[in-house]
Amino acid sequence: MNVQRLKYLLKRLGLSLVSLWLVATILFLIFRLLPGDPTTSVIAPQMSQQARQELAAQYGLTQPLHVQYVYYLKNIVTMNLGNSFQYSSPVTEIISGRLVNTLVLMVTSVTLAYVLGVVVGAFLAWKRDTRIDVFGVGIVLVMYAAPVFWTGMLGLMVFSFRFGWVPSGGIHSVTFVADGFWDNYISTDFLHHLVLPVTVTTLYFLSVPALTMRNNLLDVLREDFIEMMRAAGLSEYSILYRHAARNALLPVLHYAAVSLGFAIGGSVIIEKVFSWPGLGRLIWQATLAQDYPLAQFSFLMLATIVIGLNFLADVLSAYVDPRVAVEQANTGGE
Amino acid sequence: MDRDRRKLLAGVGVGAVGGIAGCTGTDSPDDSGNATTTATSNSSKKKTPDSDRVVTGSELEEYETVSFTMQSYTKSLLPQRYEWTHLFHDQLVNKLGVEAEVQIGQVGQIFDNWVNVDYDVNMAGWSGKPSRIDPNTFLSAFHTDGGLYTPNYSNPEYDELVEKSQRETDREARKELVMEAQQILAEDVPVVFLFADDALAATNTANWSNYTSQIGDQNYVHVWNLMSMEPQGDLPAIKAGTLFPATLNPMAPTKSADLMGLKMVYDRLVRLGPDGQPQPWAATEWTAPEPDTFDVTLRDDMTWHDGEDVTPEDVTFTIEFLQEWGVPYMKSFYDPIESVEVVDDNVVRFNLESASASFTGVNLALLFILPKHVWDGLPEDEGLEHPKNYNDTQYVGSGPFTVNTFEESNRVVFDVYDDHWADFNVDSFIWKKYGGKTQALATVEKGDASWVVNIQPGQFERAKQNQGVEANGVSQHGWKAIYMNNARRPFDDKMFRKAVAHATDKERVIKLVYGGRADSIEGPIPPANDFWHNPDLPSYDGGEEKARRMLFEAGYRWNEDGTLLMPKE
Repeated sequence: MNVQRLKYLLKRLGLSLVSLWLVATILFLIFRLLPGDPTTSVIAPQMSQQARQELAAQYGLTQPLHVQYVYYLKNIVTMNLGNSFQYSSPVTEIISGRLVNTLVLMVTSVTLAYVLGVVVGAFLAWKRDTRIDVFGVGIVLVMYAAPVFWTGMLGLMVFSFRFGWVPSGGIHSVTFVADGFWDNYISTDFLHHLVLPVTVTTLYFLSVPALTMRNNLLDVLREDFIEMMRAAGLSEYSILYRHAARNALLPVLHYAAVSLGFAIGGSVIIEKVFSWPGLGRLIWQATLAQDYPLAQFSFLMLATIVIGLNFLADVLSAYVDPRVAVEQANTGGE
Repeated sequence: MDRDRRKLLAGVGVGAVGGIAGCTGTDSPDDSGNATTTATSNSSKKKTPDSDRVVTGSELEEYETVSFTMQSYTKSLLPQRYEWTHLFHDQLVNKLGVEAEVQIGQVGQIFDNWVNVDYDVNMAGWSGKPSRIDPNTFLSAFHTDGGLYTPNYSNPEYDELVEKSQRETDREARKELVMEAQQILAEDVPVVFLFADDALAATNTANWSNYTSQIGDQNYVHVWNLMSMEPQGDLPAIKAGTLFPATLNPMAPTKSADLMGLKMVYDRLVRLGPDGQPQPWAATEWTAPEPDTFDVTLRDDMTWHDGEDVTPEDVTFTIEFLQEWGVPYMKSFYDPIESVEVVDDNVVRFNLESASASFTGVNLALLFILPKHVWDGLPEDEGLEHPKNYNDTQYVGSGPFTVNTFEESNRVVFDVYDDHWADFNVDSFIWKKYGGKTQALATVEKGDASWVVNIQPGQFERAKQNQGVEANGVSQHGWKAIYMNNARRPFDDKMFRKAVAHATDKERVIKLVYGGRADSIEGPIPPANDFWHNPDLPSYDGGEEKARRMLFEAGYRWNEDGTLLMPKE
């Protein structure tokens, strides 16, 4: 069985690497197929065609496409990602600074959403078909359906513009001075800026774990072993949270890994609304400015995170639930 | 798009352009994503032509339909331009009977088409950067060899005037030539000059006072304002906005925000004053012994932020360093300099390739001075491909500010450099980036930031209601125009272009889209640029009647549906 598991995991790893290579290639092509070129965003009215050529040459865009592609792949493999067109500094440096900001916001939100969501989902399942359940599911669905840019703006209008309880955006006050790196992220000033965006995104992400948990738990609660426990005289609370919930949790965990990946990639809107200097906004700007190195590698990094977390979820599933590896190996795939 | 498809689209009302004519901001075609959407007008809205102007039957074979595409940007990118594109489209369809389509696209596509003159009609605009106050930028944009952006317009008489005005170093004499050049453009109508909309801004007056305005759309982020501003207590001056410098490396700028940040740290020989005219800064005076030679006298009390003296050799080094390595964004400013030398104790001589009257107002006002002792040999020592990749910079300049903190895409904290000769009431200047103008304006209203520029009319109205905030519209020298490709039919016909100008009702659009806060223009130098503006240009307000009569006299006809026809070539 261990051989089977190993075979299964190696296969998943291989597929992940092929996916990454495909993504990298598509990214390379897609940016070069977009109308316009990177010199457009730099172009100044006084600029001559000659200056434009010079700029393209500095960017390495005058080389034939296949040569650029080879350089590009080489750069990925050696992790030497080159310099951003706009910032003129190394892509890795720019991305890592922004990634921290995004992670702080998104990991906090997703964690909160999954912890709260699981509890809420279990609670709703326990109260199934009561008024609380109907009402609760309704609220969760509304939060899921409401776009974050809208709830975000609404939150800003009420809590910032009207009541002045929270700042209107950014991660620090204008005049904030940090005492070292960590002070950037643990100071009250930062937490004050974090409250609203975290609340809005948590409420948005909450719905998936809550609804998944509720549905799984409803299935589990119908299983025979629950009846057995009831018969054994265990308390409802103990049955729900100690025994049933554990069994219902697995798919939720799987979602958690995947949605963290999507949260990091999908942070652009929330970052724009809250002026959050994170990765999402960086990617958006880099794409608009056709800053190839920056845009390509940020997207590639997102893809790596999503594919990586998926792979991780596969690994975890294979260990937590051995049936997965056996079934997959026997049926030869999906 | 073929005619049948166009008819079909018109029939099902794709684009719903008609709905926009009377009011603004409703019924818009989808503008999301990178996709291009096209809207076709409902042909039934064309006027029924007078019978003697209609051709029918076999005569029709000698004519072809006047049809063209009007390119413009997405609503999310440029909301006002999106609106007036559709308004003008409707005016041309209704009044002239042209077959016109609006093509909406992203900046990469539409701007590129404008630069490469790949369009029939492109709804274009020039922002009011300080470097464009000197008339040469805008006049050159219509010179036959004006480089990019010319709408394929060519008039030898005009070219000669522009060249002469570049050779004329006497301001008053140059002004005469500039006036004449504007006159020619107004008569030739290479593009339909529309308006210069006010730069709308809001300043917090509860915590700061004594702001100084500069014409154009980069207001307040200039030394004159930072010198005059008086804060409550020890507040810094704070700019809130969406623009933000990507780099403060003086060898790496690629956009105007970079220059706006760099000019705090690196001094220029000349700075443009509040009225846009060149003022002495690092240079105390300048003379032009020949139209292609400039002698610039350097101040003698300047030091670099590391304490070293600023010398004339730094100035000559800067130019040579720029020319050696190449900074494309600045190329047009250093390229015309053939050589540069120290001729006297504190005098630097610039020998230009050709006469350039705009040299002080543009080139010297845009080029920074770099410290030789920092940059000389630096790329070799650091093993850099290009000095633009130098990251470890301490930002040693000689400007009025040093860089305290530069957090990319978040904020820059500039501290006043105490040894600079200019005096400031603030100790520092903070430039803070926001995700949108709404958030930036809210910060100004709360008193956490001093000013925000280039806000939308709706935000402007809101700011006006707020005590402690002053909303002000500053007339500016940037302008908008309907660019017509003068090399394509029927825009190669001056009479047609004039008819389009007559059919264009700018006043209505100024009222609808800008709430009246824009100056109507007839040439490329708007009234805000008082010194160079020609106030006596002919205007095209004949309206529909005049436009249709002109077209008829020029040989244009209509078919029975009211569609405009031009004789086949």
